[in-house]
Order: sequence, then structure tokens, then C-alpha cells
Amino acid sequence: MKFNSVTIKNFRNFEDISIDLTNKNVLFGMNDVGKTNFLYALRYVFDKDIRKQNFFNTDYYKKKIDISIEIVVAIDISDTENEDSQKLRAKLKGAILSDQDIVYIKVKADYDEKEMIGVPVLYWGGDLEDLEEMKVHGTFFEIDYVFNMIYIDAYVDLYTLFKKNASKLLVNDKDQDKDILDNIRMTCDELNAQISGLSGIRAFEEKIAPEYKKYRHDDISVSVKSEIAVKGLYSNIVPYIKQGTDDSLYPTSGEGRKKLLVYAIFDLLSQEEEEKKINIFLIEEPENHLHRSMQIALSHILFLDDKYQYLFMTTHSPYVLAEMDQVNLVRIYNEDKVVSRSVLYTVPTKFKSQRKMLNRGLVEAIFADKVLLVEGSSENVLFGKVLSEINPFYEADGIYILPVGGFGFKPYYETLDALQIDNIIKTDNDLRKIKDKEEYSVLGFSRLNNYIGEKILPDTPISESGVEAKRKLYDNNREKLDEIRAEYSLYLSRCSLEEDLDEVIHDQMIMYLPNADGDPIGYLQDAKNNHMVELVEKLTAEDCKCIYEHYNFACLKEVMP
Amino acid sequence: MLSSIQKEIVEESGNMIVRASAGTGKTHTMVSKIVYDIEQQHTHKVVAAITFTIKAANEIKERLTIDTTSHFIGTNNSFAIEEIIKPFMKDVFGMEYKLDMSTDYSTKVNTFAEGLAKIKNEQILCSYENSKENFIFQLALDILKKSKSCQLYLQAKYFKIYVDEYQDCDKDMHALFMYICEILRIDTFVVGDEKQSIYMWRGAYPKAFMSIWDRPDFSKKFMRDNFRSCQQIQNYSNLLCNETRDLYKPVDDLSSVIIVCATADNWVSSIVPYLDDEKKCALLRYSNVNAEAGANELTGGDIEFTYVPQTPIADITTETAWLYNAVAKFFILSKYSAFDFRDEIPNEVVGNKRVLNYIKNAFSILDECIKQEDAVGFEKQIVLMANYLGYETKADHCERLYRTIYDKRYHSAFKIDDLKRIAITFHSSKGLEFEQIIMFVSDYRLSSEQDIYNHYVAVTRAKSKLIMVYINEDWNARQFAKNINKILAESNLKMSNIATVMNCLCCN
Repeated sequence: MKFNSVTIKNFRNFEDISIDLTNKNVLFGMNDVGKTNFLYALRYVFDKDIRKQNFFNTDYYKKKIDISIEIVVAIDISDTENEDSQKLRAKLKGAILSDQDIVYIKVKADYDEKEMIGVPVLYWGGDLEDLEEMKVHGTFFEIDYVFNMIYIDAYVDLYTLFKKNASKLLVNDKDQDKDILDNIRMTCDELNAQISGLSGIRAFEEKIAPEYKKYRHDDISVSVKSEIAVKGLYSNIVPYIKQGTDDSLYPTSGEGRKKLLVYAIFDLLSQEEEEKKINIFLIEEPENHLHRSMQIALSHILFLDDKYQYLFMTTHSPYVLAEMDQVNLVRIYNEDKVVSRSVLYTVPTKFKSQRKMLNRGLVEAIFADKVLLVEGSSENVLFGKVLSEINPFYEADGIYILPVGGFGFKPYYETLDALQIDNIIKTDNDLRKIKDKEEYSVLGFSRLNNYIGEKILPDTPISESGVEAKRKLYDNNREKLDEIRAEYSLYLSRCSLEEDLDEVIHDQMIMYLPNADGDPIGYLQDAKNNHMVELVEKLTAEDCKCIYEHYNFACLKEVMP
Repeated sequence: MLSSIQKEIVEESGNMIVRASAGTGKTHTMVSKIVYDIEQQHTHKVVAAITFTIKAANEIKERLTIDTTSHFIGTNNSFAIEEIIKPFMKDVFGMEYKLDMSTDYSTKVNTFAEGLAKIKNEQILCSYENSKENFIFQLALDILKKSKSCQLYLQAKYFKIYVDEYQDCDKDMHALFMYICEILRIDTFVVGDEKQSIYMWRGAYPKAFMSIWDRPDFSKKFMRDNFRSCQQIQNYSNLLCNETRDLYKPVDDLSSVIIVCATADNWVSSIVPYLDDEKKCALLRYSNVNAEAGANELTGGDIEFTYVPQTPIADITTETAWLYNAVAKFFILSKYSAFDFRDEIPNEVVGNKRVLNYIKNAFSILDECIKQEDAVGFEKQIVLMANYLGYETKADHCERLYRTIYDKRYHSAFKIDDLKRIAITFHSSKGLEFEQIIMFVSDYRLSSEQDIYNHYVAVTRAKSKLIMVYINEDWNARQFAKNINKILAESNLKMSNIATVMNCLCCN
């Protein structure tokens, strides 16, 4: 079973939006673009308790109550051996025909002006144009026997959750429990007898009734009891955490611990259902209250545990996405109306073992509006410094510098392009010696051709190498390279970072790097990161301005809004 | 409590055929097996328990101690119609068959094509003129073979199918069940007893049952220990059929099986001395007319017998059948409450207050309609109530329900358990048991296999006393005498060896 897409029409801030889905989906975007509303749309389809609330006029897009709300989820069940596909098919019956593989589940609500609500009606079937109305039994639609939606909101409270489900979580129905429960009851009675024996309690009870009677002449008396005896055993028990061999109990006070315990409880609750039903998890901003390391641990479970096979999650945290793979990234954002872009992100096979490393930059970048993709950490250090001199709040303004390292640009810009996140690439003008020949392939040019998908730059090998050869190659093709800058936001270095920088601030580099023995380029290239940090620490605002304004570093100007 | 053979049947997995002689605890075993299998099954999949009558389906439902709402428990026809024909006919024959069809077995056709036309033009599922051919099951198998979607649906939904009274299956039913077993690979459990095949006249085909017995892919069990009838009655019934003859165990006391020779005028007074007033008793006759007449004569002879007719709603087989039955029970049985009704709603959630309130309210309106003799208002309210619960009704069915409730003659059918002495046809006695049975040997000439099976069924309803009335000078009775003597001679026995024979003109 695979989720295919969802279409939302005329619901809250969605006028008409279609989003491709897969089984694991992460939604992100600025606040107030409708991530929670998106989850609500799914809840109206899959959660009977939400459906029961009906739609109000404010649920209609711009209160357009003359148009119906429509939410359609498409699910592929062509994998007939899959147990979840079978769970769905067993209830669909004849609503899906032999040549159909996709089930459409639709909620439609026309607004009833007399009742002042829109009552959701459900349809399903294999032909979107000719769906069958779903059977209802009391308040249960057929679909409610198939799916079990588990919604974990950002501020879920451990104790409320525990109390609400105590009877499900704590089943004391064995024979020996009977006696113990009787004992507890007796102990409670005794406890209350003891409590009422306390002088302070008695004094309070005696004083309070006359006070009450000043307000109202009822024949009452007041007694103080332990809650457990009045509301039952389960009203008064809470989970405590015991640490290792330490015998003392800690109330589960830390919000982070509470949150993890919440997830553990949801795990237990979902286990009960998963034999018979399909569990769908809706998780809202799980990062709240969780330390970075806990977020990364949670990420591991969310993306690698079978339990969260069907997941819709909103998040603002890169750490929650640290382990992401086989996930549909959905970016929701505002243009003239709310739109979305989504992409199925799969870690390329060759990088599977370095998933966390590969993801590290990307999970930050997808939260940005504009991303500058650079070769490595030297660029990152230098450009970060220059940009913060120009605009100290550049990161808050949605700009992010992503060093691609050994992974290359491709896995990054493909994902960012699909999400329509502006990205600018700054890459080196590399040459590489061809084996057994005195020729050099123009690696930098080929790379640009490859990214553009068209042979714009000449890719015939050249006969010389070195800085001057690179400069010559660049200058001979400058017109085309300038067009490529303008049209594709691809910036080729004339040579490499260090040489290009040397063209701009050669004298300063000599001065700032006394250990370089007059060869700052060699020095910087020798121990890349450390020596670049040494230089950057000494750059003045004026130096930065200089770099920012220079042709060699025009990519910086473009990334700045 | 299960015997060792019963325990084996319950716990063994895979395809299985069980031959179960009368009184061997067949229903008890099957119900235990269904419960056991469901508990072993840790997926969403459910079972289909398929019976021949709604009464048998209800009995299984009542005996099952687990939640049965998602499982299919119903009749052969409703399985074919609700699970295959209605949902998937359009998949094979086109969208013009996406329509609301109803069954009317009194409409007859001669060919498959005519049957299809009836559905398309009149929305009627009918039957063949030739009662040995089964249109509904031929259509269901045709759809199942051609509709991938239907095959996937059944495979996705069911892990096991149980068919009760398999000896009553005709060849078309047999073909469908074997297709489900062989091609769809859904485990199949069949139980039956070729000796109890009483529907051969309408196509039942006990050979089909025995053909499964010969299959290598079914494990085979034979339940022969009769826990119902006393040894003497068991002896008599076992001697009737070849394969049970060896179970005969001679007894000294012959007072449990009595043949009373009498005339058409004095049969009542002739049998009275042998009846135990305190124990339940049933008069079994072949026809409704004779059952009613017999009840009148017995009542006239100062032993009250209640004739139990077939109710108008008895043969409704739609998905809504449970609702008609439940409404009838609500108005006819004083102990049957709105709560009981709610508990019968398939797929309903336990403890849903809104539904309960609706039901109570609907019943008070229905009650008023009955008091006012307002059939139209009653039927309207049934339609509303059914729609509220997600079921569709037929005008004819609502009218039959009204008649069932309004006409008090039918009420006895709902109180069989409370009545001490009843008169019914032996066809409707199937699956029931009584301390004492009175029957007329003239109903069984024993000249055909079918007749012997009928007699076997009737005889094995009795637990402690079997009274057979022999009317002197009756031609049919003489045929019986001739043939039973022949059958008993196979075991070198005479009637007087195994039964008490009274007033016989020829025996004494």
C-alpha cells in the first residue's frame, strides 16, 4: 500500500492544492502557511472523532460556503500481497474494479446554511469520477474499520494521555488481581479513616460548613478524602522513571523525558491495533521539548522503525530529519496563494552508509529560501564571514551556505530544485590529467554542462595545466560563462577559491598570514580549513566589502536578497 | 467440553471435511472450531460461516461467544449474492449492472442469458425453471472466475470458509466452494452427513460431499458418537444406513422406540399412554397441512399441541434479513429489548448511546402503528429505521414483516423453545432436538435413498422416546413396513428385536 497524493479544495487556507505523497511525508514551511491545516485535512478523512465535529463556515476557504469542501486521498493498492492493501481491499468490496489499482477516498461537505455546518460525507472507489458513497454504521464509516489515525500534537501531555488510556494500558483482569484490588480498596478506606482522624482535617471540616452556609442554606457537610478512594485507582497513578540501580523514583518531570515516554505509550497503543488495522501516524513538531541528541535519536526511530510506516509529520527541526531516507519532503509556502512543492528524497545507494553526513547540510538547507552550494568548508568559512559582514542577519533572512564536500552538488541541487528553493552553485575550474596522455580534461566545464543538461561550454581536452591555463580557459569563454551565471545561477571560479581570492586581496593575505612565507595560496591550500579560519579572523569589514563586490565572488551578491 | 475427536477437529488446521452423524455435536464442534481458529488468527482477516438457513446462521451467531460483527455468518445465497454478485457483477458484465437487485425465486427462466436479462431489465435475481440447476451460483462462479477484483477481495478478506450441511449443496454450489478452495487457496472446512440429505428433490447432491471425502488435500474426520439420542434410538437410526450398521449395540429395554398401530380415528388415544407429560414433544409431519391437522387432533384429544407455521419472513435472504427478524422478535418476544436489538446490528459499536436512543424511539413509533393497525405507517418507519442503520428494504419484505407481527399465528415460530409440544414439518425440524418425537411412518415409504435419509433425520431428532404411528390399511405405511423389514434383515434383525410394537395386526 502506498499513498499517492492528496488534493484539498476550498478548505481553510487551501483554495486548491494537490500534493504528491508517499508513505513517509515531512511537511515544512514557515509558520502560518497551513501545515496544521494540512494535517487537519487528513484527519477529516481518517479520524472519525474529527469528522464528528463537522465543518464550520470558517473551515471554508475565505468563507466561500457556496463551494463544497473536498479532500481526496489517493492510495495505490496494486501490491495485492501486501497486508495493508488487503486490509483496505477487504472493506472496499466492489468499489474497485479489476483494472483499477488506485483507491480514492474522498470527503465532501456541502454547507448547510440552516444547520450552519458542513456535514462530511465519504466516498471511495477506483474511479475518481464515479466513486461509491461509503456505508455508515452509526458513527462509523467503513474506512474507520480499516485505518487507525494516531495524532501526536506538539504539546501532547503525558499525564492526560496516560489517564485517558489507563484502562487500555493497565489491564488487571487476572484472577489474582481480584484479591489485590479488594485489598487496595480496603487500604483506601483505611487511609481515609486515618485522614479524617487528623486534627487539622477535622478542624477544617467543622469550620468550612458554617462558612458555606453563609452563602446558601443547604443541609450539607464537607469531608476531605483522598482522591484515589473517590475517583478510583486509575485516577491517581502516574508513571515514574527509575534510573539504573538507583532505587529512588524521579517524577518524569523533564519535558524531554515526558515526550519520549509519550512516544513509547503511543507505541503500545498502536500495537493493539496493528493486527487488524492500518496505523497512520500524524506527528506535529516532535522537536518541541527535545534536546538535539534526543531529536536525532527520535529521527532514527521515525525513519528506520517499521512502526512509522505511514507517517505525516510537520517539523521545523533539521535534527528530526537527520536520518531521513525514502521520504517525501513537502514544502508549503506562500506565493499569491498557498502552494506546495514536494520531492521524494532517497539517499543514493552509494551514500547509504554516510546517510547522516549527507543529510546534515540538506536538512538545514530545506528550511532556507536561498541556498549557496559551495565545494567545501573553506568556502563555507570565508563566505559566512563575508555575508555576515554585509548582513549580520543573513541566516535569519533565509540564506544558507551548504558545503557539499565529497558528495558533489547533484544530490543537493536536485532536491532543492524540486522544492523550488533557490540555489546558487559555486564550483571550481578543475582540470584533470588524462591517463597516459599529455592532455587535461576540462572538469569544471563538463560539470557545468552536466548541471545545465546541455553542452554550452567546449569540453575538448586542453594541452596544458596550471593556474594560467585555467585563467586562459576561463577568459576565452567568459561571455558564455557570464550567460550561465545569469541564466542558471552557476558560478565557476576562475581557478579555485584561494587563487581567486588572491586576485582580490593579495596584499592583505600576505599581511594577515605571516606564517605563509609570502605564499598565501600554497599556505591556504596546505591545511585548508585551519588556515582559512586564521585568515578569516583577520579580515576587516572593508576586505569583506571588497570580496563581496568583486567579479570572482559575484555569487555572494546573488544569494543576498 | 469436547470429545477427543471433536478436539482433533477443532485444533487441526487446513482444509477439512467432517462427516457428522445426527446428534454427534456437529454445531457445537463447528462453533468451537470457529472460535479457536479466530483466536489463532492474528490478522485483519475474517471467516465466512455459511449455512443453509437463517435459523442455522442465527444459531451459530448466538453460540459464538466472540465478537462476530466483521465476520460473515449467513446463508449460501446471501454469500453468493452479497459477497460476489451484487458488488462485482458490474466488473464483469459492465456498468449497466451496477444496480440494486432483489431476489425473487418465483420468477423462473430457462437459460443463463435470460437470467442476465432479468437482472438488467427488471433488477430481479431469479431462478431456473429446472430446480436442479442453480442460477445464482452459476452466475456467482462466472463472476468470480472473470473478476480479478472479486478474487482479490475474497482473498483479502477471508482466511477460512466453513460450510455447514454440505450434503445439501447442489452441484453449482459445490463448484463455487471448490473454486474458492482450490484456486483462491482459502482454507475450507465442510461438515455434513450424507444420511441427512433431505433436499435432493431440489438439486442437493450428496455425491459432491462424498467426492470431497476422496480428495487428498482435505483431512478427514468422522463423528459417529450420537450424544443426543438414547442407545435404542441410536440403534434404530444406525441400522437404517450401511455405513453405521456396525454401531448397533443390543439393549434390553425396548421402551424408547415404540411402533403403535392404530386407525385414522384412534391414533391419538393409542399413543397418549406412551407420552411423558413433563417432557418436550414434537409431532413431525411431511406437509404443513398434516402438521396443522395433527396438532388439532391431538389438542382435541386433550393434549395441547401448537402448530408452528413457517413465517412470511423466514425465506428473506437479503443483507437486511437480520433486521426483519430482530424487529419481529422485539414485538413478539417479551424479553427481547432494544438492547438485544442493538446487539444484533452488524458492525455496530458497543455502547453507542445515539443509536440506542434512535432505536427506542423508532420502536415506540412502530408500536403505535401496530396498535392503530396502520400497516403503511409501520412499513414507512421500517424503511427509515433500516436506512438509518445503513440497510435497504424491499416493500414486499416490509409487508411480510408486518404480517408476521400482526398475525399472531406466526408468533409460535419465535417461541419454539418455550413451547412444550409442537407440530412442525420435518424439514423445519432440522437442527432441532426433542425429548419425544411422534411421527407417521406413512410419511416415509423408504423406497428411495432420499426417503431413507428423510426418515433418518426425523428419527434422530428424538432424545429419549420415538413414537411411530402406523395407520392400518394405509398403502404408504405398508410400503414402509415392507422396506424397513428388508433393511433390518440386512442385519438379521426384525422390528420386534429393536422396538416395542403395539397392537400390530400382523406382528402379533
